Amino acid sequence: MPTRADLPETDDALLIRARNGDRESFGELVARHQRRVWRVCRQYLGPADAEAAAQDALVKAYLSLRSFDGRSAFTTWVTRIAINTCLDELRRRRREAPSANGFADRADEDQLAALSDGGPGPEDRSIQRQAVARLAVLEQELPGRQREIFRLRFYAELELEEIAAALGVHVGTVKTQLHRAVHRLREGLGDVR
Amino acid sequence: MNSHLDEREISAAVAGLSLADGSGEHLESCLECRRRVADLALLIGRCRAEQATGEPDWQAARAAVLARLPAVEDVRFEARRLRWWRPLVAAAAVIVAAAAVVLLAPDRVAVDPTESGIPVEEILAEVDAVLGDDSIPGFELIDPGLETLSGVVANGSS
Repeated sequence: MPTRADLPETDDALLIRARNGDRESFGELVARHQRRVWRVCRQYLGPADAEAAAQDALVKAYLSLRSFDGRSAFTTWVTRIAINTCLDELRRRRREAPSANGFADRADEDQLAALSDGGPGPEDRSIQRQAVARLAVLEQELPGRQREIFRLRFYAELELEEIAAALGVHVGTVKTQLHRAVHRLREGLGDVR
Repeated sequence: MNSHLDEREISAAVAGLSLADGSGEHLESCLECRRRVADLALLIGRCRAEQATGEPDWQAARAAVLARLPAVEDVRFEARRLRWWRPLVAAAAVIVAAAAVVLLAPDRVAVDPTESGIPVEEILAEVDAVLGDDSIPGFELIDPGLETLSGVVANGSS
């Protein structure tokens, strides 16, 4: 029978210890949330830079632990830090290369490149790959906010409330934008599915 | 509800949004509508799976984060170092605000009486003239007059 000590500690308990300098507790928080942070970063910066951005975000979170007021869940807070880290990186890129299109273009390029690298396979597999590639292209054509919310919902797998909290918008806005994005994608895909 | 969901309702279902009661019940019981919802959901799932193939080694990623953390003492020292000047800034702000209030208060606008354009002499002359006039309205009822007072003194009655 599991004892109380066997139960996993809550994020709050780990946070208190991490604030007092317990690096192992922060390490446990990292282990719990790094995948989600990486997924969020991947949507903004693409796979090549997602890991570095996720590390930056987690280190920033550690340095800002004392300013965490607990009004939101730790996961929401760290997700917001990750998004801000990515937006800072995108702004830096835009300053250095004004012609860049911004939000996660590289992610799409990488994704399309990966798709096109595959050799000829079974016919259904090929159709699926075409559909995935088509979805990536259509997604690229979505308005920025719709694309951002679509990716955070379906690829980073955040809940609607988490997206709203991370982006600082009302959950109704998230629902509206997500619905429009999905509808637009369905219209664009037509029979490709 | 017998008719199939319209395109917007299908999109809402794909997005995971709640449908109206009748639409929700229809979706649960209609294979055709569920297939339409599943089509895009599966495609999105395939996209997500493509992305997941590039996931890093999580153990190594965690170790890399921990290796980048500064020592706790450094963080605390930095926090203290950032804090010591805050009271000084607050005190300086209070002093500046107080000085601004004192210097800019309206009653501090200096008026030199010697430079005043008020006709003091004329006003004093006017006041003297009024005081010298016995017919100040209302005063005759209160002031019995010197003759009346003399009569009172002489006769013992008014």
